[in-house]
Amino acid sequence: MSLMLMPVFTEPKLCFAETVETVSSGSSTDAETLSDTELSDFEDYDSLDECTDFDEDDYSKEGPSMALASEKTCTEDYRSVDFSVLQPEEILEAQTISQKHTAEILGISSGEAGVLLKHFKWNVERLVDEFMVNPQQILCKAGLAVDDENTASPVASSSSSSSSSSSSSSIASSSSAQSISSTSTALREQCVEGFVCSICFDDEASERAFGLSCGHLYCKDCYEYYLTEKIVDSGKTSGIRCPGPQCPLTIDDDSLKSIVPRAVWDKYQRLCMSAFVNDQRHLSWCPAPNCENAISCLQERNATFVDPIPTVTCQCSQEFCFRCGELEGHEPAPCTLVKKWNTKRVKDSDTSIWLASNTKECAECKSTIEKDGGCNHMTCKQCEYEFCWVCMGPWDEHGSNWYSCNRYDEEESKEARNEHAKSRATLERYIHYLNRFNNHEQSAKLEVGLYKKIDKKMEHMQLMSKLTWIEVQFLKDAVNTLLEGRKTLVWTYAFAFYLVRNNTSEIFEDNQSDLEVAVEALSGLLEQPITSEWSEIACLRQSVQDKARYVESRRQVVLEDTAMGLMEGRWKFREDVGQDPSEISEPEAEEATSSESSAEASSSTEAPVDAPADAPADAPVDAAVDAPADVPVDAPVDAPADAPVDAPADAPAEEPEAVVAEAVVVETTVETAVEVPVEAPLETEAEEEEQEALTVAAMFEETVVEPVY
Amino acid sequence: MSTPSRRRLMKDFKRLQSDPPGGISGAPCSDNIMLWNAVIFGPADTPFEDGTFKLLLQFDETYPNKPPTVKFVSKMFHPNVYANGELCLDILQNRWSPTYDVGAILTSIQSLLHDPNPNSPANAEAANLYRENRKEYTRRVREIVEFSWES
Repeated sequence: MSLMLMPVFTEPKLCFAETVETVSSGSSTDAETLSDTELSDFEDYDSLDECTDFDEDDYSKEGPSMALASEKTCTEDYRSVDFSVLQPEEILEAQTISQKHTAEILGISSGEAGVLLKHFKWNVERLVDEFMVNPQQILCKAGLAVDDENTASPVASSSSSSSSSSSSSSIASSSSAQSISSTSTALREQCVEGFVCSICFDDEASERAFGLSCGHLYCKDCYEYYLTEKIVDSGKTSGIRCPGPQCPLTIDDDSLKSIVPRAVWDKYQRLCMSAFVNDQRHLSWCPAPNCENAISCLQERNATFVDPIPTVTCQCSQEFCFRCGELEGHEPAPCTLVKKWNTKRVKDSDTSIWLASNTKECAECKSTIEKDGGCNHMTCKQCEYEFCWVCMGPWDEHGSNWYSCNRYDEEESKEARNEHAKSRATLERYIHYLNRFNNHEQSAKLEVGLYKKIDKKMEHMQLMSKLTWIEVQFLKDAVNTLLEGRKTLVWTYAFAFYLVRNNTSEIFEDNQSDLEVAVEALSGLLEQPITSEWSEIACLRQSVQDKARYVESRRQVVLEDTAMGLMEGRWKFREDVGQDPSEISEPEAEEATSSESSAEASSSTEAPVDAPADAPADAPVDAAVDAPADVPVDAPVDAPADAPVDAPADAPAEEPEAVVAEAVVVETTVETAVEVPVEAPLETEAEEEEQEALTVAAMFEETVVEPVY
Repeated sequence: MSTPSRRRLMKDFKRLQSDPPGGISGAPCSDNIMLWNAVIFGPADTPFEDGTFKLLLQFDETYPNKPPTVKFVSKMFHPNVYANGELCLDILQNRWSPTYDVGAILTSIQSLLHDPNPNSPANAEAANLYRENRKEYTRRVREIVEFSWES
């Protein structure tokens, strides 16, 4: 396995890179490598013999070495994410190292570097760049030197009490004449004859005067109150300035430490640490309650689809997505998609299920309607459209003998029902995925309880057979694997919901179902009661281990294939899930010629393939006429071949959708003949989804229609 | 009870009495040193001339690390004074320094009457008139000056 070196470890970010490196190398004596070793074991799953690998690697997570494990690397390029866990002391250390480095580069003191870094939100690169251009200006901005403009402030001059401040401003301006000063941030005790603190106005002889190079002097008590207020009440970590009126000088950490009480200093350090982690993109707090660790991961937070999903694990065993913070991770679904799915789920889970089973939509205005009386003559409250609840056709055609609803084949009625079926289908499709998503999530929750049962079983097994403690651990491992499998399954359903149905999505579904079958089998196996027969235990052990390995290998297949697909832009999404259009793979024209596999070629030609199959009879002719000359030749060839497969397989629900989509496809091609044909259906999909969103939104404005008697 | 803020307010009061700046006066309430009444006289050569404007200053234990809450009790027509009498003044917010005392606050407010800042208006009407119709602005200010004698 290779530890990937990130490209950021180069010149400009030198200081950071080293920080991270130093820290991780200090703590990571024992890299956790389970996934890789296990993976390589699973690959030759068929030839496995039962008593293999009870090696340390498998059990490292149980033992004390777990605490030291702070690095995890995947060998596969598609999913590899490097990260390390930083404990509070390490964060502090990283902070100091970064400060020292910056100080060395810029040739200033470490204290000054600290002030500058906080001012620049720990962005070393920007600090160094800007400092090189105009050091004086940067020092002034951060409050390490005095600028001439700042000394003459209108308020100070207008204030009458400024007998002291007017004298001090003259001192300040004289200090600005100095070159880049090295002691300006250090608070120094000064002896002044007849000193009166201008905060408390005390003039007792015992007062000790403190001040920065600006010459504003205050007594220790006032400084202490002032700084304590800034830290404890205002929570400031940077830009704590001299209390003098509009004085721009900043107080550095060492001076601060010498003045404030210990408790305040501790609080200040915590605040600084928090700012240090929050300000930097490659650092993030572990979201687990009471965990004080931070994760360092060189992953772009606003990464695109091609970047791997950074699932990281803290030492406290909390797993989360580094980019979006989703607990337990969400592979294989990308972050943007997860966000969309979660919003959708929260917004309309129970509601939509209820709506699907209890309501219909007005054929005219699409308002959601609940029938609250027996009569089937309905009048929509929203648009006053009168219709028949039974056939959803317009009421006026029903005449006097509406009971039979003999207008079944009438054009309007049919259309109305199509419309209805279409919107129901969208909803049903969503509920299909939602149910499976919820189901696996629920199962995973229940299976956490398996740990307890398994513990008992393991004890029992040790009593019944000659197996040692270590030899029965396979059961616990199997539960771990099972839960991992569930977690992946859960998110495959969110992912699948957004996928456009085509050949690639079918491959995905095949992988998904393989995993699902394996997970269910393992789950069943683990819930089985165990017998006391020695032979049966041996048999059980083998089958549990085999199953667990199979589940893990199927899980890896799903994760890798999905990640690879994202990287290649192989997946097509039904709506905008934040995918960069440039990442979507090029249309079949090139691929068909370059790739040998016909499946791959036709997979990306989803639109032309589906269209002729579902479209009305005259559509394909039109499309062919209007289509630009460069339309791939294999599209019509593929079409009939795929059509019989696709059409019956798709529930009738899919059909009306496709019809509408086709109509728009033809139009778009006419309007913009230059357009790449594959893009057109994508747009229509987006339109579809928009409409779907609208209808769902409309459902919430509940419209109850009273039947007319 | 003597706290740093109370001690400081006593000192403020002494300074104000021994060396009173022109055109302002202020004193704590007899039973509560944290609450001050103050009067600012309208500066000469401004529309506010001859006005006597009453203010209320509320301090708390964070003083002088934090500014007091200051508001006009008298009716006011000024681009930087809200309808309820509160003011929009930088030194009473983000540019506060613990070295300011009551005298400094009141003189700053007095100079604000002199030099309104119509770019961050608290009273849009006053700000617009100040910019576009100085005559009408003056007339409206005179109205509240006269009003300040009555109340």
